[in-house]
Amino acid sequence: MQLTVRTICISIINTDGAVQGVTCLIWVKVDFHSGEPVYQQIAQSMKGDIISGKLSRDELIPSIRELARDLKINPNTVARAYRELENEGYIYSRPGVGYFIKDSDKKTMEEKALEILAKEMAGIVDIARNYQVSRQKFTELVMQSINSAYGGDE
Amino acid sequence: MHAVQIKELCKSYKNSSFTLQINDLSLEAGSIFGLLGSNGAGKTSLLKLLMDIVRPDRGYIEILGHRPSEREKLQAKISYMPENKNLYHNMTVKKMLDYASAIIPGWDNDKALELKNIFPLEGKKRISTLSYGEKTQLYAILTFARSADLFILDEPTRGLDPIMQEQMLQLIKEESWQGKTIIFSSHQLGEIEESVDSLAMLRKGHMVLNGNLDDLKSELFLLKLEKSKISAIPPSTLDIIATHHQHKQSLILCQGGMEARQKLQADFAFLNTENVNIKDIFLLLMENGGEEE
Repeated sequence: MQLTVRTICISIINTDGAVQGVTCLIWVKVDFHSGEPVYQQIAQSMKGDIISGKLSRDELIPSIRELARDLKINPNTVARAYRELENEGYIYSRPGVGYFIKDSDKKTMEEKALEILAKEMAGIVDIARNYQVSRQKFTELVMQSINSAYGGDE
Repeated sequence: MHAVQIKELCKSYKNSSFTLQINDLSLEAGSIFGLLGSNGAGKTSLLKLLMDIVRPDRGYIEILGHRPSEREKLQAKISYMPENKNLYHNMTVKKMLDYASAIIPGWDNDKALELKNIFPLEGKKRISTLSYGEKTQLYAILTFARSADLFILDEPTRGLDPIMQEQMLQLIKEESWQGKTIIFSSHQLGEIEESVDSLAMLRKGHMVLNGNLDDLKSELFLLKLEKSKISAIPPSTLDIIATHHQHKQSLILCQGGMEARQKLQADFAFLNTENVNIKDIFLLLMENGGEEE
């Protein structure tokens, strides 16, 4: 079963005495029957939203309990996902307030994006190798995909 | 903190070759624990040992800081739904619930009312005329209307239709959000995968696997390869849990994290590794492999 959850949270952040209201929209999809651990699915989904800029700095994300309730899972699983996100520098916590998206410069974001892409690519390369596609044909295919997405014909 | 701890537990039965043996099992308080296994694997026996309905030949069990035999201390803390959900045949549903509210310690009338809305049974109906699923629903009201710290449920969704099954799982999750510990056995691999934090698989009285669900998924993987190529992999490079051969293909359940997997694929180009879900793990372990008795 797949579960898609939309969590809207409105945060009031006090920066330099000013009160700001930020609305963040989070979609987390969990497939319980996939071989991928649920906490990793949550972390992965949020990383994607942060890197692509859907979630931006200092936005308050749902609390562990809120997200656990929405996804109908144990709070420990969400806590584990948040711990991973915190350790890898995607979010930070303010005790008693909640978890927020960490400020990252463009270069760091690109590095993180490349890290995720490298993992995804490894899987695709494995498939190509299992299908016995030659290095040259595979490179051509990759270039074709790049050209159709980014433009250009080299 | 552990809600349940089991060490070197052994239970055999007269006139039966079946022996239940659990060497080491701990369940964290506030978690949902799933017990899986084929018929006769020992799930009900284990739950009965926890409830002190049967006593072990040897071994150590601790529940909520007490031994199972300390019934008077545990009675108010544990709520149990047995495998056999037969109740007083001649009573009506209403009479049964009235009776339960008078005699069951820790009965919560508000909660019972909520539960009656979730499991809407006709009060006038005699228990003898209820279907298996309806008896389970009645038992669910009796089990969850008590304030307990630990819920031990023997196949709580058996016989329920998909909607009621979902309600039951929701109920289990809600109890766990409030810090309660839940132990439940099931044959439904899907519901176990959707609801538990940790699980154990029993096979012929032995525990062949146990752990946190996410950890198991991170640490186990499936290797698919042509049978003829198995000999090309030195046995020492694999930590094999179970193997299954079909036609020309071999499926091997291995232990090892992402790094081990990547190294394996780099070293042996013909290998294909895949993530595993509970169904994959269960089928491979129950068919063969695992701890031999």
